Amino acid sequence: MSLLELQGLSAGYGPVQVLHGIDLRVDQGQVTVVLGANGAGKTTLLRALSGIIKGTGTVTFDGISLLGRPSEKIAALGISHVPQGRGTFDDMSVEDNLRVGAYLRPQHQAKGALDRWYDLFPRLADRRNQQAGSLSGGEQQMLAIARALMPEPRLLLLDEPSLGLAPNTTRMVFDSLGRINEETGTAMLVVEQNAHLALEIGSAAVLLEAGRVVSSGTSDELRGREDIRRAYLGY
Amino acid sequence: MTSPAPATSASSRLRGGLRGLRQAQPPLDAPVWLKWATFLGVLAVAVLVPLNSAPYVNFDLSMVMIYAVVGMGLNLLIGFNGQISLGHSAFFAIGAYIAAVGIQEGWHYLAVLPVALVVTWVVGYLFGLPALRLGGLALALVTLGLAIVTPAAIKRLDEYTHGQEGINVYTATPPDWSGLERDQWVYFLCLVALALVWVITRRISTGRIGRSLIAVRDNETVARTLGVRSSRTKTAVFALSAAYAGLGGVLYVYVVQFVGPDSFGLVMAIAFISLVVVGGLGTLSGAILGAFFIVYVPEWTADINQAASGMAYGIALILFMFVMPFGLGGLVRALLRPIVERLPGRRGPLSMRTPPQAGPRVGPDESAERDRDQIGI
Amino acid sequence: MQLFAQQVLDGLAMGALYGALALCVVLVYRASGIVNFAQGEMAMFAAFITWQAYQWGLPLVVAIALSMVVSFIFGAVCERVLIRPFGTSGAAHLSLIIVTLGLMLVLNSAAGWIWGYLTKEVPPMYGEGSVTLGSAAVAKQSVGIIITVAVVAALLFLLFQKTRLGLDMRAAASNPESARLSGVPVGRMLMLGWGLAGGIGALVGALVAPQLFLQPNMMAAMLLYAFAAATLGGIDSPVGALVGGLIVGLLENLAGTYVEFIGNDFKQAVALIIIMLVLLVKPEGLFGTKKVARV
Repeated sequence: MSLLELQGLSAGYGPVQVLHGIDLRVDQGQVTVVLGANGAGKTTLLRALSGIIKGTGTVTFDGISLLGRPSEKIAALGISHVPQGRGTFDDMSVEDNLRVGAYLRPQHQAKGALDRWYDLFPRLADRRNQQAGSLSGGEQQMLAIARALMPEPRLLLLDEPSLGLAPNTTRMVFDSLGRINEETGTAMLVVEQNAHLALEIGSAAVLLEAGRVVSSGTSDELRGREDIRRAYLGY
Repeated sequence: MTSPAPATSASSRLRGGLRGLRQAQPPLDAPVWLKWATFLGVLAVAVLVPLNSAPYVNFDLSMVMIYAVVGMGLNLLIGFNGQISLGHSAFFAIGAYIAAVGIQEGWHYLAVLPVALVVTWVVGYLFGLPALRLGGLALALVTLGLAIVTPAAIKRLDEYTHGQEGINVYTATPPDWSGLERDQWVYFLCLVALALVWVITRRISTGRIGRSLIAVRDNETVARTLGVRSSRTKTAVFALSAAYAGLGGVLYVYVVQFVGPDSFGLVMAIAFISLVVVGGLGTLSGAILGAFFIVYVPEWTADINQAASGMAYGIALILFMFVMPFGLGGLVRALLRPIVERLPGRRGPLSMRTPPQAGPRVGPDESAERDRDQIGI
Repeated sequence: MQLFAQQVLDGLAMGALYGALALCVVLVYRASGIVNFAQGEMAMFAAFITWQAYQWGLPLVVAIALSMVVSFIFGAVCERVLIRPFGTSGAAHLSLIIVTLGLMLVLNSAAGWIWGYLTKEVPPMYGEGSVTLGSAAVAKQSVGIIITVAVVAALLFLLFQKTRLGLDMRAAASNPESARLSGVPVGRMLMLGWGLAGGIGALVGALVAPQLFLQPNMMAAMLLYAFAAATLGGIDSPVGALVGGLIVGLLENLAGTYVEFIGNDFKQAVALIIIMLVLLVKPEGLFGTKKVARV
């Protein structure tokens, strides 16, 4: 059984339907990449999964149905979402941001988790008392990822982690994501414009167009396809 | 999007009906002949009533028309501009005191009228100029402050206002040629004022200015790029609505013949808001229905308890926001629409030009409501 | 000089109360992004509950505690029932201003209905009489008020900065969506914010009632001062609310004593002028965050 399984997921905003029957699976420990142009519904997909917006169809996580559950209950099941634009608590310190992330864990475990992410992202450790809003874009992205990982989720949803970052920083963020996946076995569903890097850490990929899945397969399969290379990889 | 609803249980049909009331109702677009017939019919009744009614009825109806004038100004502001002023009692008070002091100094009671209009317009403009830069919540704060301070200011300026004592004037005596009693004469003065205000407001709200108001309300940034000078439009509307309130104040002196500081406090300010909410945000004739509400509710509830009218206003504000955010005006439109739409003689293609939205966004957030069952507490 | 010192201390005592009520306004603003126009009337109603419980024979301190608990629950229920259905979008502001105005009227009328409009006497919590501080004789109550508000402020600081619950409340105010995604029950945090505002307001009502004389309309002017304090300090800053309250209290008292035109009756105008000036010159206030300018 897959960790996450979607069948015919449709969702949208008010009268505007964005997703039209998405089928998708994410296996335990696997990184799946969602490719697609602007407006294809990538962000909407993640928002529907984490309960920010309503959807119809079936979505099961480890056999439990997700649709209709509020965001905080979905988080409690072990799904963490790093929203687009990072969604840090800008007027709070780095450390407080991470402590909020540990809401779902007993207090005594939080401390250990904190040290662990400080080890992985030493720059966050240096700035632990600084306000999150004063960090650079890359640091904020790392903070957002670290915060999402605090509860030790089984599935991490990432919405355009490279948005607004310099190429070097993007590379570093993806390297970290790859390492985290290897070390912890956290499954990930990554929405990304930067298909190159995403396909490097991803083992499977789907392509969204106008709210529908138009292709899916392993990363290598998709990388090998002429049309996808042209449209999303640019060579 | 409006697919016919399948036959459902009574309760869900009721809920659907309630939801309908929560939607902004565009104007009815009645055929021209019906508009004129309604207008003339109402006018005929309005002219005949005072000739056959007791003086106290005429005074009450005069108050209704005065408050309707104020309400139409506030409606321009809230309904079309999406801004709220809790302080129009202050402009009402300025108009009333200019009238009372002027008449006491020996001016003709009609001569004070233009003075009051100009002064309240200018004061409104000067107050609105900075205040409107602030945006909704801050404007509400500032104007609430204005409403609270007004009675204290009147008392402080006791050299002119006679402070707590107030001013008694005897005015608006009917001319001999009319053969009318004072109550009837005052009634007709108010009727003329209301009719003029109604025509002016209608022209504004359906014309070029009205469309730019709605544009500013719904999306200020976009409106600005389309060349609507939003701050100037807003300030002009604020000043105009202040002048309407000033006019109301002058008429108030004709009817009541007394001004005192405590009549113009927070209670009046909130009564005005109740008027607009009960009557309907953004519906012109709703102001008249709302004015009936704030004139007659205190009378009907006076025997129950001193606090009953305030309670009725308060409950009405909350209840209308939840159930009928577009007020009685919206209700009337919703009820009459099926009938009007079957009538012959409508303008046809022209009626396609409906405004983008017939009122500001108010009422419970439907999406928030759907979430209610799930989010819990 | 003696008069001046006394005026300063009285001003600070009143200012502490303005600050505390402003704190309630700020707590609600941080939770729901709106100003609760009924905040003053909630405090007034609570003061009546205190008075009633005291009349029934409860000790004053117990009566105040009881009314704080009732007000806490009332505030939380208000958020859930009256505020949340309108959602949090900017478009909800107009509706919410109107709803809180309605609540203001309902509470005012309910108090008038139940207890009448004649003033009631609430004994000062810290007793009559005065203490001598240097050359000035200051009412015990004034000193007590300043100390009480300081204690409340310290407790709130501890709650927000040192406890898990406070952390979650700050997160819910800072970014509700992210807080929810981290598992924080944001709805409960909003109710808690409103509840705290209600509870602190009840304390303010009980402390101010001896000075203003308890009657349903006692809080209108007080609310205006609290708005001035909150605006001056920055409408999303709890520290700002308290500092703003002290400044407003001082200014108002000194202006009332030393500026002849203003005198005792026209002091409210000081509050209105402060609000207008701050909003025009520095809309975010002394301690608020910049984005508040969009309000």
